[in-house]
Amino acid sequence: MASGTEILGTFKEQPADPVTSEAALHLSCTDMLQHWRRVSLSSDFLAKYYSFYFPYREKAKGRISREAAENSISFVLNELIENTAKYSNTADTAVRVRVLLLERTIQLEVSNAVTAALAEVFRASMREVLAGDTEALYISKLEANLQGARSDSGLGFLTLINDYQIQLGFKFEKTGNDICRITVQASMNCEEA
Amino acid sequence: MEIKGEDFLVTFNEPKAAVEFFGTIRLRDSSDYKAISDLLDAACRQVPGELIMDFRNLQFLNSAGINTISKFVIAARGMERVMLKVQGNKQIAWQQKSLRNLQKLWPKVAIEIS
Repeated sequence: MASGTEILGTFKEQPADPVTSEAALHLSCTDMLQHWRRVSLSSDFLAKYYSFYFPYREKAKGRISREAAENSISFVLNELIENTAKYSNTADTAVRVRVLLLERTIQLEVSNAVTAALAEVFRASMREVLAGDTEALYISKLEANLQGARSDSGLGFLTLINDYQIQLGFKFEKTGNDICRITVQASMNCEEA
Repeated sequence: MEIKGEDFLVTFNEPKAAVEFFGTIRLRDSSDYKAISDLLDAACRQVPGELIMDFRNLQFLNSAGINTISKFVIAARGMERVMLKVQGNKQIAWQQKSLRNLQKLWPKVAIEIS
């Protein structure tokens, strides 16, 4: 990371489509670790907020229904925010959550700060996730996990790709001597597959 | 046998040979899920033929929870002492999306999403 910034996957600095709506939360990983249910609460809040953009099940022709959108947005955001709370390990405890509703997709974004060493571990794990056969990788990681290997990192991201068809992008920015801010972007389709 | 959290309940309904899940389960990591996986193991030892896992009233399960269930399925596959049946709710998106994966881990798992 000589230049100070590295991108993995599909990361958009600027959204490709016009933004219908944007919301952001500024949180602290300390707060979330103190009361873990704050993670779920934050995800549920944003999911419910954006669900109103989606039609009722009876009218949802070609678009994801309100109920499904709420459940899926909450699941994905919860996974992303959980990671920021679990892995932030520097004095910079700020966690940023941002949701952008675009025409055909909803972009869910989180960022948090970690040490350079942890960023490197995460980067290697995400390269593996982005490169391979994600279905096979999921099963092999699960089986390895059963043998006691500490390889559950990545399982959540693999679930997002395999079950939610999420497109992932990562930005690694050096923000201090030994600090790297990681931004994760997850784009979800608003239309029925 | 039951485990109660602030947002959830997991209970072993012995007459029905079913472990029933209610609410939202989003615990932090596998060590927090140990009580639930212990309950599943115990239920698995007690039922004679088929164990039902009933998720129909579970609004959310995070990926750490899905991993816990997946590991239980792999362990049950290894023992082949009981058969497993999974009940899901088609109105709840995460169940529609993720429950069928359990069959990929063990094709003999019966999945019923209604």
